[in-house]
Amino acid sequence: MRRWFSEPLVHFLILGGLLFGAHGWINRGNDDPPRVLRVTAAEVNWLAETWTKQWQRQPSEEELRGLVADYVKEELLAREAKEVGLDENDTIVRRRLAQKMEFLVQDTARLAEPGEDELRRLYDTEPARYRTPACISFTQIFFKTETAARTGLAQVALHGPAQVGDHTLLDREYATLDEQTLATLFGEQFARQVFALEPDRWLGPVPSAYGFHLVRVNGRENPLLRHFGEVRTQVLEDWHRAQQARVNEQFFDGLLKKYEVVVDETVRPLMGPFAKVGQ
Amino acid sequence: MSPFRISAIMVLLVGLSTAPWALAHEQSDIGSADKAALEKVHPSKPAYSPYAGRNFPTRPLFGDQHLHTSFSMDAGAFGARLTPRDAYRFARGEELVSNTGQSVKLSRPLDWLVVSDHSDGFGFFPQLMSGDPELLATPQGRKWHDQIKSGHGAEAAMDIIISFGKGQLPKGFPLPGTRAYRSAWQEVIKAAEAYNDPGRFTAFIGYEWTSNTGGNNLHRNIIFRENGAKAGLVEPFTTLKPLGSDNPVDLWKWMAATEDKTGSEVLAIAHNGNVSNGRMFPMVEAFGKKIDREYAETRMKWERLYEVTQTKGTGEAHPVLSPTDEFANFEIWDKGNLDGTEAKKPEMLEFEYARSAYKNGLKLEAQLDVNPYKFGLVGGSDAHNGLTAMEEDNFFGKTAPQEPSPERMTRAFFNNSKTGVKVMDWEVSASGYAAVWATENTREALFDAMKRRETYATTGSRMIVRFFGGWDFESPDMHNRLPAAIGYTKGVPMGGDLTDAPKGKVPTFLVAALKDPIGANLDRIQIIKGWLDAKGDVHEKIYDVVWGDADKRKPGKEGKLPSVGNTVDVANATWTNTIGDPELITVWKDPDFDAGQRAFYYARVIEIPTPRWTAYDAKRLGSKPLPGTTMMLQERAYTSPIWYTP
Repeated sequence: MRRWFSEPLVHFLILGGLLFGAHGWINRGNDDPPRVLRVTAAEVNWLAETWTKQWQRQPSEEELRGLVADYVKEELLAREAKEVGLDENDTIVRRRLAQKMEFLVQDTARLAEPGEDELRRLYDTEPARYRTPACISFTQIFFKTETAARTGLAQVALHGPAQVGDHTLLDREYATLDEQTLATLFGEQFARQVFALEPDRWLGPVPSAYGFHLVRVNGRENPLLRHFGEVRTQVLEDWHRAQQARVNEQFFDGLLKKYEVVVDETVRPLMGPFAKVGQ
Repeated sequence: MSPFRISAIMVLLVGLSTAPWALAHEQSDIGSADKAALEKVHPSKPAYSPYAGRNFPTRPLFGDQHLHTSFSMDAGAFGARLTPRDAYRFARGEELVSNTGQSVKLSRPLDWLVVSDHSDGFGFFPQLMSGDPELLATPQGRKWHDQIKSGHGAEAAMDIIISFGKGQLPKGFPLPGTRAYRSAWQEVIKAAEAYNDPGRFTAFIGYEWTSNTGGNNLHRNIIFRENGAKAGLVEPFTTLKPLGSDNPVDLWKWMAATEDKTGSEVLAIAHNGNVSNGRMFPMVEAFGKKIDREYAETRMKWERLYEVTQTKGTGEAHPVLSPTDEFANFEIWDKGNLDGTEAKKPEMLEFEYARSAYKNGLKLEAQLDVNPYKFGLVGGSDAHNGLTAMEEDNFFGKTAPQEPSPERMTRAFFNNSKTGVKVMDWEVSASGYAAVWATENTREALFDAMKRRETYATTGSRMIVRFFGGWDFESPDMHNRLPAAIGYTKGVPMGGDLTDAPKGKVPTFLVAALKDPIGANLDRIQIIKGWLDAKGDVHEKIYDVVWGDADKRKPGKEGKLPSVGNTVDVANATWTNTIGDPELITVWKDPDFDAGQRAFYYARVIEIPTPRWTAYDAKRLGSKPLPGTTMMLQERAYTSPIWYTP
């Protein structure tokens, strides 16, 4: 409860409410009775707390009086500024308000915690995200030139792979690599081609960043859905991100319904994604 | 929608409620763990089957141990909006919208990342931007807030950096122990936990300790080996007194206390000696205290690695220190300190560059019996926009305003008229990454490999480099089908030690490199040797040990190898792999070995010339380079050394 009172927004809302109330009340009659700025114990507590955090001690009586006086002064000036419209057409004020609204929406989204069944549902509906990638195991023989690789293929067929190929730092045997890792080792084109090769026979030449390769695919592992427990953190993160995006979008859609955006004919081409709403 | 949360800080607070305080104190036995790890990766006896028991690292894992996001006070002021979570998503290969609204994706994912936001003022930026009353009550806080809001964030950022260097920060600046600070740290931890995926992508928990007194850079990145339950037991060490300190000795005390308290090992990686103005590798004293054995031992315990290349320049060697090294003049930043408040003097250089630190380390070892500068090498980006995009053709700059734009080649990064220190944006480097020979892609395996210095730095390329030293390597070893198996069996890998020279033998090295599969061919591999002679003087020598196009490229007079040539078309930002070789390997024996003299050896692998990021910018954005702009470069890798101690 106490923390709420130290929140700027709460103040904003309280004061906003007061202002609204005051406005209505003022407009009851034609007389202009004084408007109300209510300073409660909660405000004073907040002022004292802020001070304490900054100076690492409680404010003295006198300091507190100063704080309250400043607060009243600032508040009245701010209200008067609003009254005469100083907040309008002010980039800083507008941006700040928009940002407060955004933070509010985002924080609300972030605060929501899904139930276990909701996470399960996300995990079940998007299994592709939580799969281990397909993996491949293969043997490769390296050649500097394509011609040598073609000759090599014939030799391998006759005599086996043992004595064939040029020297290379690349390994001969690669076990359970996914396509992405394979691409970081040999280049993308090689990875794509090797993943498409028929297993258990020498094929090639397959070109890579280094030269030409004869390849024999020895095994293949299909993607496996990872256990829910193993990927729960990831599912939760995905849920939060999706939730945030959804809330942002819904909120803004709501705003677009609430407001009618009216634009000049010349402005319409500039409306981008809002072209359809800019009637 | 209950409207009781508003500021970004409050979002971060959510982390508090789930802080895992319950974890028991756990003491780890560093000594035995190290030994076991070493035995695992360095088998002593070969099995009959060449593939059996092959548990040495088979491929280097590429990553960045140095990346800032909007959680860093200066990054936020510069306009960074991406968060640690965004940074991890980007590093693991996802497409993102950059801080300036541009779509961006890596050519291929990285294997690991450390988000290392400045520990001073963690969460400062969200606090400032949410209009925190304490902060805005100070003239500085108010000024920065208004500057940023009115679109002058870059000015605010420079002012924040300078104020920080002078120790003049406003009241209300978030300090450890406060709610805002703790929640920001918890969010950093939670981001790493959410994206750490053992075996696939490693998200380390870390931060940067930004000692910057007087604008002289003594920064260190801190990395935790273990998970958030342990890292969350402490809060980062800062530099602001009285809670923090700008003296590395105090950081090391904090590290020792942290290991005790959390049971997680930690390590520190220093960077940018080039803007420390002579303070990164001291020889006589530091912070008023003499460099002694205890300093050397402690530094070596915690600082096993050094970041030798990044966006703010490369610090391997300097042309003034190494006048005969034709490759020393590479992406050099030598005009002043970090914020340009003090200009560089030539006598500072010796205490700033990795190679001279290696040499001076030998001297100190002779005096103190311990070498404080026995560090391995890594690269890092130090980008301040959450995007570790360090490829020349995909460079997203160091800060948000340096993301691609037609102006980024012509603006000044900073300009101090008082000292005359002016650095242009075009001087920012698209560099670098760290390659780690870890047995698997996990926090533990990567951390352990970092601790044993089995790493190398690259300036952005992902070439593969092997480097082994021993007494018995022979030429046929380079034709072996499994060079790595021979390497680990007959020698030690990069970062290792050679001692007890057998009578009549000299150090031999098996060194090999394979080009980046989507990158440029290799020009040459060099081995750089430094040693301490009987008179106590240090020396260095560079050997070209193997090179591309060897059939037509022969060393000329005085053994100088001719240039590999150049295929770069700057105007079109293209090059061809028609020169150089995709792969180089050799066995090299030290021809000048003296068993009585301390020495170090490291490999430098150089690619053929390729267009620099400035050339891609000129071509794609039509920017006109300023006179003197570097438009091409030769990317390279630097391995951790192997040391010989008599």
